[in-house]
Amino acid sequence: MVVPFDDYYSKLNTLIAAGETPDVFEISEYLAVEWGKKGVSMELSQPYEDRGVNLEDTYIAACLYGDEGNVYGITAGVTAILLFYNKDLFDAYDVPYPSSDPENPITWEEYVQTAQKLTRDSNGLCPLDEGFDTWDVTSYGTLTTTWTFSLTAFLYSANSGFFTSDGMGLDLGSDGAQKVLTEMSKLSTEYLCAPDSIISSSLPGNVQMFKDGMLAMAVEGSFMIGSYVTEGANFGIAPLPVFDTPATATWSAAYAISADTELADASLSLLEIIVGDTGSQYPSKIEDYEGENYDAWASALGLSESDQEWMKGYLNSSAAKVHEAVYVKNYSKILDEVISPEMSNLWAGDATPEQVASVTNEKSIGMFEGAYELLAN
Amino acid sequence: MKKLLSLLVTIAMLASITTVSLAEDLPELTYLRWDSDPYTEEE
Repeated sequence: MVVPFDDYYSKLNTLIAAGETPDVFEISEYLAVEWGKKGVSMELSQPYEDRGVNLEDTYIAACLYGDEGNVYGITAGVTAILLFYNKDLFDAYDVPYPSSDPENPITWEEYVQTAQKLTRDSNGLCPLDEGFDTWDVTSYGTLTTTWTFSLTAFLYSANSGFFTSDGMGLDLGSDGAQKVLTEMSKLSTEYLCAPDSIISSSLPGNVQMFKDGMLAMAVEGSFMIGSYVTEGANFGIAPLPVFDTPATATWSAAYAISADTELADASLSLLEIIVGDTGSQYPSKIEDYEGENYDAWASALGLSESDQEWMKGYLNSSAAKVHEAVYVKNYSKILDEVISPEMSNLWAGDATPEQVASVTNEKSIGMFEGAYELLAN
Repeated sequence: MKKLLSLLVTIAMLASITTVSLAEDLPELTYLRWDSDPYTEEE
């Protein structure tokens, strides 16, 4: 059964309460391990072993969600946060494309400079030119990365995160996090290469802005590649700009099997089928990164050959780190109730990074429960 | 237990990535998923 996402957990919880947990079900990344530990989902390593399949030898570690060697969910592919760039605008202003080397992406400073060069007012002036009119911008160099899932990747790049790695506190007061929040805020307020929060809310979607020549760079999940291709945007992808170390965050919703299923073997077979359908997310299976398997998947995405090649290496580089949503316990509650409201104040210009760190630390006292030990960590 | 979805329907949804022989071998299962990508919507 396919359920609208907004109704999904209401439906699933009702079924579980009625003793009718679906044999196989989709589950958000932040719940996958928790529900396994609670006994709703089946531990998968042993039944796969019984079928002659070693999960760690078969799937990339970033796709296996569990704790202390147990696995409770497998993802149908993995999303990584990438930098999308508009080739039409880069070509029009003769600006070189961002580096596609996962080990040497463009630096944050280069990203800002590039975004400034590609931000133009109706007179063709950019923020680096005298007379640039911030109220008459026709194309923006980039957007402020406000979505927490994407922002986490930048925090990783500054050796930080929303959370400490042990899940026992917030890290927004660290030097790295403060630098990221400060620099991100400056994109609209000081570097003038991104719209402020009010203007942003009135702009069309990123893909449409690419097509209309209104946006040069956007930070997006790799799951958006399909939309850019389908809509006919002339785009390329690159590793994220770097603060201190190359980094991206990976995650995806997972698929689990009911611990109460009476059809375990058949459920495992179905699970294998489901997680093989990765769409425009990175493949789940190790063998799908090799030879013809990878070529077939990458070609189907519609990317240029050069992007296909570096993209493969990105997920298999040291830059790729599992998103803290997957392994920090009580992630969703702390994010929704404490972090997100204060981040909104930051982007609206109603709070400084220091105030965000201070307020979130205060409000989150007593909410931390630690972190799971993922295979990938 | 009331079945939410027969595997044959599931197999039809996943037609491009499965095989007929697999469909014939598997019994009826219940399978629940959501309809769209919440991340895409959030962005």
